[in-house]
Order: sequence, then C-alpha cells, then structure tokens
Amino acid sequence: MYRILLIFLSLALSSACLARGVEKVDGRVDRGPTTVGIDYRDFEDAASDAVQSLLSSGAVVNPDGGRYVLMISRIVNDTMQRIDTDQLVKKIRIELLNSGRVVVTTAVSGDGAEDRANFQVREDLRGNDEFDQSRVQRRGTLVAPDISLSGKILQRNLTIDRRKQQIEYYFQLTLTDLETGLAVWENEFPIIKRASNRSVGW
Amino acid sequence: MRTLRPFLVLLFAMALVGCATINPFPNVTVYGSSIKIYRVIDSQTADGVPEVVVSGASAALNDRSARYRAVWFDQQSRPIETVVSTWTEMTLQAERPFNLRMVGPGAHARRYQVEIEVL
Repeated sequence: MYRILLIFLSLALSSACLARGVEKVDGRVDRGPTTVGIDYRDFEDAASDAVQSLLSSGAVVNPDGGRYVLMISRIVNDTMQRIDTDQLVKKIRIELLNSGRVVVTTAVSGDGAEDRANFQVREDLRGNDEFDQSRVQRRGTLVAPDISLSGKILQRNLTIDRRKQQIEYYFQLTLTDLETGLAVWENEFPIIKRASNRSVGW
Repeated sequence: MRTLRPFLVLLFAMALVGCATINPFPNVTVYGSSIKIYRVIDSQTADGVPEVVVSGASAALNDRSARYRAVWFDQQSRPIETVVSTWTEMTLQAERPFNLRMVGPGAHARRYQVEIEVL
C-alpha cells in the first residue's frame, strides 16, 4: 500500500517539476524572440498580407453576384523545413469565408477530394436499401469551383560572413480563374531573417 | 454684472476647451512618442471593403522599431476576430515619413481603431 502511495507521490512530483518553467503564449501580443525557421507569426503575417491584398484587389468579387467557389490547389513546400502548408492556407480560407466573398469546396483539391465523405456518401449510400434514399445526395449536386488558389513557399540560405547567415522565405500565392486559366491575382510575401551561422533553419 | 455672468461662463468654458489637447485623428492611437500623424485617409473598394491609410513621420533622431495594426469593428461595434488585425512589425527610419495601409476583413467591417506602438 505504501509502495503505491510512494509511486503516486513521485509521479505527481515529477509532473509538477515538468510543468515548472512552461508558459502559455498569448499569440495576439507575443513579443518573444524570432525563430530561424518559419513560426506561427510568419504564417499569420503572410496570411494577413495575402487576405488584405486579395480583398482590396477585387479579385474575389463575383461580377454575377453571389460567392465564388474556391478550390485549394497545390501549395508546394520548397523549404528545408517540414511544414504543413495548411497552417497558411487555413487562415486564408477562414478569412475569405468570413468576408462573405468566397466559399471553399472540399470535394475537389490539388490532391484529390479534401473530404472523402463527399464521394463516400454517394458511392456507398446510393442504392443501399438500409438508407432512406430520399435523403441520399442526388447526382449532379456538387458545385464545381470557379477559382483556385495555388502557391509555393521557398527558402534560400545565404552566407553573409563567417559568423552570419541570411535566411529568406518567400510565400508565393496565385489565384486562377478556372474558366479562362488566367491568373487574376498574385502575391509574394518575403520574410528575411539574419542569424548566427550556427543556427539551423529546419 | 448679472448680465455679464453668462458671457463670463461661456468665455471660461471656451478657454478650457482651448487648453485641452484635441486629437485630430481619434481613430489612431499612438503608444510611445516620436511619431507625428499627418493624414488619415478612409476609403472603400467597389464592393465595400474598407481601407485606411495612415501617413506620418518619425520625429526620432535614430531608427526605432515599431509595430501597428488596425482593429476592425462590425455594425454592432463588436471587434472582429481576424488575421488582418495581427501586429505588423516595421522600422521607423529617423525623421522619415511613413505610410501604413490596412484593409478590413470584409464589407461587414464598419469601424476601425489603428494602434501604432513604438518599441
């Protein structure tokens, strides 16, 4: 009995020690040091710049009225870091949706359907006697996209001298009108960082 | 003397108002010194997205770090949670002018408050 109590106590103590020194960051006012790699603030800056540019350009204003249907094409990560490009794309999507100008399709994307359920409910449920067929999605109800968002995140590492290096990141985005194949909006947002040569950006 | 009293009260009130500092740009708040704001231009895109351009100059004798943002409010004066309101870092060059352009998150943004913080 004492042994169990001791184990429990030591576990509680060790977890308390681990928690010490950990601080939760308020991202809205964070003035913490900048990292060599791409951090959440860089994604926020790039997304903010892209959204402001998109909304002020008028490229997402549908001349026929209503909202454009946007598909997310490929956003290539051409950096030395393992990053999920959704960190950038999601912020832009949320803003465009909230702006009332654009709605994003999850049935089509650069890597196939973003949400497989769009097709699963059709393939698996249509004609299946177990399901009320009047509620199963009919043929020809999916909405085709009008515009697509593609892009690339680039990284260049340059040596300044024996001690310092410059790391350049470029967030490049393109909005294409799928009817004509023409790029109707493009944006490049550079982020330049200088750091010690000993710092590694991945 | 009794007939003069209202005039005296009015004169005193006018003097008080005259002494008070009136901010010519109530939609722009500057935290810190060494910045002068010259002009604030409000405009809208064709589809009603608001834009604001703040023009000013640094009065400092050396370069200073600063950051700025615009907080946007909807029709009910509620702040809009948006990525376009994140702080943007900038360098205020000594005694040089600057222009800050901020675009609202959509036509639902009705009012704004620009914050400039000299670090």
